[in-house]
Amino acid sequence: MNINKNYRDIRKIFMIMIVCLVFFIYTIQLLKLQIFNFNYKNKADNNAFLKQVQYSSRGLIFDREGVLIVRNQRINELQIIMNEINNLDTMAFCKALNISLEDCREKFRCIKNKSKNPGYSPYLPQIFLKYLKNEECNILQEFSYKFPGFYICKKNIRQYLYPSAAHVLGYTGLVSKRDIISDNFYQRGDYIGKTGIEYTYEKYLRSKKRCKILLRNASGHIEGKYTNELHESNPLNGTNLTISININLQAYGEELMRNKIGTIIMIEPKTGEILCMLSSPSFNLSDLIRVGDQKGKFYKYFISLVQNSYKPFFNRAINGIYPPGSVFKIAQSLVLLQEKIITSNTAYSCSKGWPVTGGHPLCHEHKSPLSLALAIELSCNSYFCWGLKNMIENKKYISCQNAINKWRNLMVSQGLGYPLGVDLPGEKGGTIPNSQHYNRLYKKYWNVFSIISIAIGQGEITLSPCQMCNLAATIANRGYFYTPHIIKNLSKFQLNTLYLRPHYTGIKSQYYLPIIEGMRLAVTSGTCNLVNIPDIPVCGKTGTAQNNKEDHSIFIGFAPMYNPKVAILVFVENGGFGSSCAVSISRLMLQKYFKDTIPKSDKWIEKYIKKMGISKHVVHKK
Amino acid sequence: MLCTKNKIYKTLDWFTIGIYLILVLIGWFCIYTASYQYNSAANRFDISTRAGMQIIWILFSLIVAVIILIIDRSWYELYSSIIYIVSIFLLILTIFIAKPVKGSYSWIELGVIKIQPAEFAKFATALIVAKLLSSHQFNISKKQNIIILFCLVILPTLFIILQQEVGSALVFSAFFLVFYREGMSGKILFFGFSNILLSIIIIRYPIIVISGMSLGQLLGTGYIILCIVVFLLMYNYRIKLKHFKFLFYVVFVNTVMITIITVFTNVNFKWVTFFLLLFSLLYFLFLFIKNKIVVYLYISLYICISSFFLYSTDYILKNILKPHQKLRIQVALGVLKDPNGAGYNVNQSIIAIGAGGFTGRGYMKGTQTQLKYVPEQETDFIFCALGEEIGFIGSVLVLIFFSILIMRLIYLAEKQENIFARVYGYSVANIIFFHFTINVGMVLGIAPVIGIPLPFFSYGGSSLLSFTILLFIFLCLDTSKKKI
Repeated sequence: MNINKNYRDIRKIFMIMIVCLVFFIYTIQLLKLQIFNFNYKNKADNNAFLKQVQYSSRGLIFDREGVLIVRNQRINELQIIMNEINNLDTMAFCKALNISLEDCREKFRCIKNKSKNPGYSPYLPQIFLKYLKNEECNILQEFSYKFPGFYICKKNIRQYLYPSAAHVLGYTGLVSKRDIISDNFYQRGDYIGKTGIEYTYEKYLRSKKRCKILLRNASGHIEGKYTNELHESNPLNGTNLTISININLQAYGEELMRNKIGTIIMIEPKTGEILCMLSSPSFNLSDLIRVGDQKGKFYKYFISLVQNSYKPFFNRAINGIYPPGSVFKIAQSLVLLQEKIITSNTAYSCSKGWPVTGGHPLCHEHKSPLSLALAIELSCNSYFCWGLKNMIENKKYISCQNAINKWRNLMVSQGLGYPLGVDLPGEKGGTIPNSQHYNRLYKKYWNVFSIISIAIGQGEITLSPCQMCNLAATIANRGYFYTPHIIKNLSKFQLNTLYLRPHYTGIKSQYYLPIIEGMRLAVTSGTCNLVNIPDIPVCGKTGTAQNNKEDHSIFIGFAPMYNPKVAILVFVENGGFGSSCAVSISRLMLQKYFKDTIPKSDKWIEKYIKKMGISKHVVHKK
Repeated sequence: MLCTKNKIYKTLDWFTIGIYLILVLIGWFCIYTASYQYNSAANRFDISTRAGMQIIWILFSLIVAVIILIIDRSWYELYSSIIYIVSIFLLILTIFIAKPVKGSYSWIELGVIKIQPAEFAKFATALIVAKLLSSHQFNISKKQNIIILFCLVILPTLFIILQQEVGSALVFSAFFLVFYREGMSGKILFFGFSNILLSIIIIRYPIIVISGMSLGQLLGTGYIILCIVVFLLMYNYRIKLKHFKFLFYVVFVNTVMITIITVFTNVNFKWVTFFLLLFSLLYFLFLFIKNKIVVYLYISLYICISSFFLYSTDYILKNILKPHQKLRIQVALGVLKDPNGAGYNVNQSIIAIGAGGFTGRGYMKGTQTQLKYVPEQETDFIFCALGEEIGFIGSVLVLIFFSILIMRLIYLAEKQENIFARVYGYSVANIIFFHFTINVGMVLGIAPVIGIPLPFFSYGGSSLLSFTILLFIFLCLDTSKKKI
């Protein structure tokens, strides 16, 4: 009996042990699930919460006169969550959407195809139709219970009121994967500025999103709204921008530049604001952003632009770099004056070329010797070769390396050689060589004759058109410049301080006077007398940049001579000898700017320029 | 009558009743939140809602409980056979008249209410088992007695299986623990447990490793050999076995030989293990006949049964079990991952419980519960609602309540001087324990999905009523423990 009792006690304890064991195992499992694992909360939220983003409008863009250029248009986008679709009545669905059965099937196939739609997940909303008409939208909403898994999302897309300024404004597009990773503000399907000021001022333009969180039950039906103030914020429209572009001037410039390759830039020297910046050939933003069912059409247009040999997406005004040619002589003479190599009265001889090397580089026929102002007027190559020779060989620099470095520093101080800081993406800096550059190139054995072509803006020198225009603005201001910028007003935000303070060049303002005199002479009686407008004193300088095709035609200038209002650059690629093309365009642009209309006497020039087509001609040559 | 009632009042175990009431109350709140319809205007006490219906069932159960307490305790012992026969009859009747509900034929419709006779078979079986064990001439160590006991348990099980309610049928295995407590040889329990483990190993590792043998079968063979060695060691300790050392070498040499054979020859490994088991079986039988030591017989029996399981598990899994049962077992053991199919319930219930965290998401605020992500969340998966909305604290509290209840029942059963009451008490404790273990285990993703309710918690009149009857009959019997 005693043994039996003991025996039973063991079994009793065995029972209790099992109960305790189960209790502990389950407690450990609960600990594992509830305390040491945080994923389940997210999983539960993913189950229950359906985030519906409500978009408000992106900032509007006005031109300097307050004319609305870019606004928004509201579209209905049809989104689909594949996982939630069950028993779709395809026929009824197609009827509601007014699409054919084949189209519908094709769309489903496209969405599921991972190579065409890399971000595909059956749990995430996919874009089924980018554009839904209002009537279809109403029908679909009415019968939404019939089509589970389909959601209508209201989105804003850009609408362009003027077909110009494509490069400056830039286009918007769906965010890329990289954008989403780098900034968690974005979600799949959002729009983001891709180029132009849409890109630069994306942070201001974009609207604050509002997230509405809906509760979704197990069968996919929406049961109500999740009320949590943390997740809900008021939508804010994006900041409106005012840009310094004058849209009429811009449009006129684009009209003139049709069928030509090149760029026109106009800057207000007093502020650095860019009045007009265009690059030709251009493209139409409205075509690019076109919505609706024409996905194929959009791609065709986009691809045709990308593959076009004239590169219409390329903003030549700031992204292109070219040899400046004779335009560079202005900067050259300023450096020579500042370094006291020459004075305004210094004269050098010329004999259809630079006499020192036996007539190389060549010059055209004119009287000799010439003083500085006349040398600028007539764009004498020999004068600047003399000047550069005297500077490089000057004993006060000890070596030609020091001399070229000093020369370069003064050039850079005029805003050349580095990106200026224009508020558009992808600005290029050009090149202004220094001694190291030549040491590398000539293995230290070099002298002024090796580098003489930089005296006349050829050789290693390259500048972007914007830098050339900025040079004109610097001269107009007699010694300082404001960094050129597109932005004029950022609503309640402060502009970048870079655009608010002047940058002084290393050249005293007195040295600018003989240059301006020379530029004025060039207009009245020199290389560019086509731009000699009767009642506006224009100062200017032409340039012809040599390259392996026909010369680039360049004109820089400013007007009026005293108290200048505008600095201008016209650059026509392969436009032939400087005067003809670029100068006539400048004349028209300045007329347009100052008088708003082209006088009758100049109509023939306008007609001639509009007829002129350079790009076709070039293609033939190819 | 008044006198009896007064006595009952004094001798009643109020502690157990307290826990019972707490569990039923928490259960009702869980059902309320789990069955709450978003945007529905129905009052919480509306009969049309499940919460309202459950209130009626709770009240009805309490009335039944009082009636049970009033009835003289000797009645239960007297009428246990009749109750058992009636319940068996009901089970048979159910098979023929029941309409299918979710694939099972276990519900009898009585007008508005539906009753599941399988729930009531539990206490009937508990009563008859207690009655049999408490009879004077009954000795559990006799073989025919054990067979009679097994038959009593297996009979309702069979009918319930015929009703396609495998979950409820499995509950009856709780009685084996009762038999164990009452003196049944531990070997039978060990045989059962060992073979379940064997099956689990085989199903868990279905990868074919070598010539038609899966990893599970290999491990199973190893496990059988290990068990034999442990047996021998144990009995060698108690009664000096003559050939122990020799036996040990045989097993060892056998293992080494098998390894060598498989590595160096092309023999089908299946046959090698088969012959190994066959020869060892014959060897132990020979030893038994020669030495007349019972241990050898047990070992040969063990080898016999285990081998049967070793070779038949795969066949049973593939051909006898229904596809959904096979899937559930495979998902529970982690062989398959099927978050949208068979594993959906468990996956969602784990998410719900995990989302609860330490303090829960707040009563009526759990998204998984409120948005009905867990199927069957008012009935079998009711623990999810608790885990999500009250969190770790609430879940552990309920676990503690259940553990205390079960231990209290064991404690009370141990105190009984009447064998009938003791056996019945143990049955009650074990049935509740089995339900609790399987149900919570399934919700936590440890046990396979077997559709049995959580006692006192799950929605359902039959379940609540049957557990109330089960518990209160024992409490009624318990009043006799202090003899006046």
